[in-house]
Amino acid sequence: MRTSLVKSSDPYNGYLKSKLKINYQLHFLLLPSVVLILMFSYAPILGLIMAFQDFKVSKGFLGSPFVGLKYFDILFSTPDFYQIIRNTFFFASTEIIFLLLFSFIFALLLNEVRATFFKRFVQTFVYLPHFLSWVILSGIFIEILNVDGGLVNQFLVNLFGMKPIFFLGDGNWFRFTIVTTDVWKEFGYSAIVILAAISSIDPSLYEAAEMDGANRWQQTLFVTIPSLIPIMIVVATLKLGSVLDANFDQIFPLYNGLVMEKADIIDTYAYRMGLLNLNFSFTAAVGMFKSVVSFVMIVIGYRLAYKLANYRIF
Amino acid sequence: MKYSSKSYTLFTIANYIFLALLSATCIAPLLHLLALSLSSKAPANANLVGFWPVGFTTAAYYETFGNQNFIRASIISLLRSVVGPVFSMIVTTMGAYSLSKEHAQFKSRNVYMWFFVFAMLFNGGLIPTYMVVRSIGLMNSFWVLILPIAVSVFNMILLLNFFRASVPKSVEEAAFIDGANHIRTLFFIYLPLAVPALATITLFNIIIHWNSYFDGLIYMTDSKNHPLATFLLTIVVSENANPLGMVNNIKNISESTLKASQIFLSLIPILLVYPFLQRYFIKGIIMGSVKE
Amino acid sequence: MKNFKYYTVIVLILSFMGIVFVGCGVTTKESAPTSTPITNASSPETTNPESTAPITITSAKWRDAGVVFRDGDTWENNIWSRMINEKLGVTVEDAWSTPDWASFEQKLLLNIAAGEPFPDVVFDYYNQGNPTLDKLVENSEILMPIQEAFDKYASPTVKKAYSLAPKSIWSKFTKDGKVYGLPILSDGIGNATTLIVRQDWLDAVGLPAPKTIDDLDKVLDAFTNNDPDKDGKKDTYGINFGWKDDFSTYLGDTSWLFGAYGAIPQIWTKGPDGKLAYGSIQPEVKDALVKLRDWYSKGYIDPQAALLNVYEAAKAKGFMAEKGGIVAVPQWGYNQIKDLFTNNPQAKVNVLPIPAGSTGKVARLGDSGYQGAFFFSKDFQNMEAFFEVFNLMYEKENPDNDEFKFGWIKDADYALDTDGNPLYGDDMKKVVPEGYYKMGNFMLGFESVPTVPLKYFNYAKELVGGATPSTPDELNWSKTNNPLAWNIMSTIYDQKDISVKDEYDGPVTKTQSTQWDQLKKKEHEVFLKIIYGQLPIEAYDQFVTDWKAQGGDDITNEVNEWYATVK
Repeated sequence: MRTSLVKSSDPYNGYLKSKLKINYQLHFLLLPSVVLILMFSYAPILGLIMAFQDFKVSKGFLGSPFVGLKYFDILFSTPDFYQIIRNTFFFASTEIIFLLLFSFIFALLLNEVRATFFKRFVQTFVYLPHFLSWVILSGIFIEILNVDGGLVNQFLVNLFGMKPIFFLGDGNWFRFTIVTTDVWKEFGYSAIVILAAISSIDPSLYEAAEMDGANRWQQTLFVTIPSLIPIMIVVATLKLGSVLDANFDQIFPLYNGLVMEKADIIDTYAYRMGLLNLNFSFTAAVGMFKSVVSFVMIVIGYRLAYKLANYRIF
Repeated sequence: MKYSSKSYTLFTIANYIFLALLSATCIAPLLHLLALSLSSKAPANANLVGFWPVGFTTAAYYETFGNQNFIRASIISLLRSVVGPVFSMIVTTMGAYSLSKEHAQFKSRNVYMWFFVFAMLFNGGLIPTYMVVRSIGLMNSFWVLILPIAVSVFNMILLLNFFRASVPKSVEEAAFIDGANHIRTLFFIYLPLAVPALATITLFNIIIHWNSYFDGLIYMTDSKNHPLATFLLTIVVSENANPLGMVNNIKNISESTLKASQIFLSLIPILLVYPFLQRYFIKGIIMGSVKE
Repeated sequence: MKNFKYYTVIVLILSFMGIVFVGCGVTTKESAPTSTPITNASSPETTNPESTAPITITSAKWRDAGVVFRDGDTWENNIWSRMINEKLGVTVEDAWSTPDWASFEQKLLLNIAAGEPFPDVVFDYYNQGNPTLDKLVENSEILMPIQEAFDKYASPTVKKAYSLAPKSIWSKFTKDGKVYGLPILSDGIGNATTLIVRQDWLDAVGLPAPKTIDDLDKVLDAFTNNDPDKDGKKDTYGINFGWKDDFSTYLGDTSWLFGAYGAIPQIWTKGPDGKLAYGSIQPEVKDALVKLRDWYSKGYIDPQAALLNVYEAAKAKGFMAEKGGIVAVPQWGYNQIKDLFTNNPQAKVNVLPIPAGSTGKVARLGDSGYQGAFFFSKDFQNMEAFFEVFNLMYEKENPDNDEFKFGWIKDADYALDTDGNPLYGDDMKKVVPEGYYKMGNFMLGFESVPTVPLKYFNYAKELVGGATPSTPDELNWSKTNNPLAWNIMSTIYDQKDISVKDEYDGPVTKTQSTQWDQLKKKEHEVFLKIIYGQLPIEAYDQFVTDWKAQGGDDITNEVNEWYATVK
C-alpha cells in the first residue's frame, strides 16, 4: 500500500488547496476539445438554416429566401413516409440489438480461449470484414445468395431438401439477409470495446471469486458479465442515437424494386430525391429531422439508464 | 486446476471449433479478393475468379507501386495516422478526464456534456463544413486531415466511462491528499489505469485516419497532398467511369483487380496494428503494476 | 517502481507531439498559400485581351486515371496542350481537379456555394437525367450567356456541325430566353441500342437469327433449355437485362421490347393530340409486361436481373460471363464485352437488328443529341480565345483545311510511311514503336474530340458494306475500331428512325420535385413484381389510376406547359 500518505505534513490543508484549483484546471483540460467542437461542429451547424430556405448555391445563406417549414412539409407529406420510417427503425434497431448481443457473446467466448496465439488470430480475422466496403461485399453476397444455384441455396436444397429461397427478392428474406450480413460484418469490430472492457476488470475480483470456490462458469456469470453491464449500457445508449441511421451503404447496392416496401429507408429516399433535383435544402431538412429524433432517443436512453440501472452514461 | 471440469472441456473444444469457423467466414472474402487482385483482366471482368488467381499477374500491384505519387501519399497517410491519433488522444483524454468528475465536484460538467452530445448528433452537412474549413484557411493544409476529426464525442464518452470504471475512488483521493493536482492525477493515475481503453481508442483513431479519403479529396486541391486512401481512389481505372462509356484508351488492367489489390495494400497496416495493440488488452498486467 | 516507465512514455509522447506540432506548423505556413495563385493567374492577362500575350483559361476537370499518357506527358503538359499553346497562345489550367466524376460534380457545387470563383470554362457530362446540369442553369447568375459569342466566334465548320443536330439540344440550357451552356454534340445516335447474340449458341441449337419477337421466343427457349454452351449443365439464360435502376437504359436495355408493343416507358413522347404523354402509363406497356412475365416464368430471364445494374447485366454477371445469349448494347458496347473473346476464344458474337412485334412495330429509346455541355463564368473575358480552341478541335472536319487531313499530330495519332501514305492504329508501329496515341481524352475535360453527328455511323455502314476507306479519316477510324463494333454501329444506324427520344428536356417541374420519386418508385416496383409474378397483371391498371391521381396528371400538365414554350 501507499506509504507516502504520511509524507505531507498537513494533508487536510493540501487537499483544500487542490480543491480550489480544481475548477480552473478542469476547464483548462476541456478547452481544446471545446474550441475544436465549436469550430468544426457548431459553426457548420449554423448551416442547417438552409433547411428553412430555398437554398441556392450561387446566393449562399445570406441571399437565399426563407421558406419556413416547406421542406419539412414535403418530407412529412411523402406518401410512403411512414413506411420509410418504419423500415428505417426496423433495420437500425434490429441491427443494434443483434450486433450488441452477438459481439457480447463473441467477446465472452473469446475470453474463454487461453491459447494467446489462437485468440489473437481470431480477433484479427473477425474484425477484417469491417474494412471491406459494402460495394465489394454486396457483389459477393448477390452471388452466393443467388436464388438459382447460389452457394447458400445449393446447401439448403441439397442438404435439407428445401425450396430455394429468393433472399434478395423477397421482402422478409431481404430484411433477414440485411440484418444477418451486417451483424456478420461488424461484430468483430464492435467486440473490440467489449474486449477492452473485459481487460479492464479488476483481476482481484476473479481472485476473490476463486477463493470463494467459484468455477469458470460462475466466474463468468458473477464477475465478467456484471462488470460489463455499464459499458454495454453506454454503447447501447449511444447507438440509440443512430436509430434513423440504417445502413445506407449496405442497403443501397442490394435493394431493388421487388423489395421496395420492406427495404426503402430514409437515406435511400433522400438519395433518390437528391438524384432527382439536388435539393440541398431538402437534404438539410432530412438531416435535421434525423438529428432531432436521435437527440430525443439519446435523452430517453440516458434517463432510462439512470432510472433503471442507476447509471449515468455521460 | 479447477477449470478442467468435464463440461468445461467439452465447451472449450466446441468453442475453438466455432471460433475457427467464424474466422474462416470472415477471411473467405479476403482470400477471394487476393485471388482477384492477382488475376488478369478478362477473367476478373467476367467474374470467373474464385479463391485462386486465374491468369496470374501482378500488374495491378505494379500499377499502384509504379505511380510516382505512391510513396508521397503513403508518407502523408503514415504521418496522419500517427499525428492524428496522438493529437486526438491528448485532446480526448483531457476532456474525458474533466467530464468523468461528478457533478458535485465539477459544477459545469453537465453543461459541457450536453454541449458535446449535441455536437455528436447534429451536423451541418457538407456545404457549411466546407465553407468553415475554407474560411479558416485550412484548404490544402496537412491539419485539415487532423483537426476536424480530432474530437470524437463517442470516444470521449467511452473513455470517461472507462475512467470511472477503472480508477478506484480511493486511489484518486489518496493522490489528492498527497498534494497532486488534476493534471498530475490524469497523467500518473488515470492514464496508466486505462491502458486497454486508450489502446482501443487509439486503434479506432488509427483506422479512421488510415481509411479516410473524403477529406483528402474535398479539401486538397493539389493531388500531391492526397493521403494514400485518396490516392488509391485516384488510380482506379474505372471502365464504367465515363457516363457515356466510350472508353477506348484505357490501360489493360481491370477495375476489379486494381480495386482488390488496393484493398489489400490498405489492409496491411490494419492487419499489423491490431495484433500489436492487443498486447495492451491482456488483463492483469495493468492493475498488477499499479498495486505494487 | 514500474510507474516510472509510464512517466517516461508520457514525456516522450509529449515531446514528440511538441516537435510534430512545431514542425507541421512551419510546413503549413508554407503550403497553405500555394492554392491561391492558380485562380488568380488569369486575371493579369484577362485585362488586356488585345495584346498577343499568352492567354490562360482556367478550368476544372475530372482527370480519368485510365487515360494513358506517353512520352512523359501529363495533364498539365501534353501533346494537345502544347499544340494549342503554340498555335493559339492559349493555356488551359485547372483551378482544381478530381479523380472521378461524382466528386467532380460535388466539388463544383461546393465551390459555388463557398463563393469560390467559377472557373472560366467547365465541362460536365449529361448522363441519364444528371441533375447537376439543371443546377448550373438554375444558378445562371454566375454563368455567361453564350449565344452571342457562339454566333460571333464559332467557325463555319462548327456552325455546320451544330446545324445537323436537332434544335432541341439548346433547350436544356435555356433560361429566360438566354442560353447558358454550350452543348457538346453526341455522335448522333448516342445510347440507342441494338441486340447482340451468341452466334455459336445459335449454331449449337440450330436456329436462324431471330427477326421478330416470335422468333425470339424460340431462340430464348433453346438458349435456356437446350444447353447452347454444351457443357451438360442447365446454366444459361436466354437474355440478360439489368433492372436494378430502370427499364429504358443503354446496356442491358429493355426499351426495345416495350417498343415492339408500341410504347417506351419512362420517357415523354408526343401523343396523337400533339401533347406530351408519359410512356409508362400507355396501355401498350401492359402487353409488354405480359410478355416479360411469360419469359420470366419460363426461365428465360435470370432472376438476378432485378438486382443487377446495366453493367453487371452485360458484363460480369451476364452476357460477358456467358450466362446469357442475348443482350442489348449501344454503339460503344463492343468495348464493354470484348473480354468475352479472351476468356472464350471460341465465342462468336453477331448483331441483330431490333426485332419487330407481332403488329410490325419496332421502337427503342433514342438519344438527346448532346453528351454534355460547357459552362462559362460570367467574368470570363476570353470567349474569343475559347472559341479559337474549340474551332481548332473541329478543324479536322473542315474540308478546306489540309493541315489535319491525316490526323492531329504526326507520330501521335497517325504516322507516314516512306511513300507519304498515312498509317493508323497498329500499323503505326512500323514507323513509331509506341504505336497509336489517342488524342482527346485530356483536352477540355471530355473524352473524345467533338465531331459531326453521324459521321462515324456512315463510316461504319460503308465498311460493313465492304467498301474500302475513302478518306484518311475513315481509314483512321477503321484501324482504331473493331469490325464487330462497325457492325453494331451500322445496325443501329440502319434503324435510326426507330429511336424514340424523350421529348421533355426541361427542368424538374414543381410537382415532380415532390412527387416524382414516389411515382417512379411505385412504377418500378409494380413493373418488376408483375414480371416476377408477385403481382397479378391487373395491378398495372391500378398503378395507372394511382399514378394519375398521385400527381401524375399535374406533372403531365406542367410538362406540357413547358412543351408549349419550346415548340
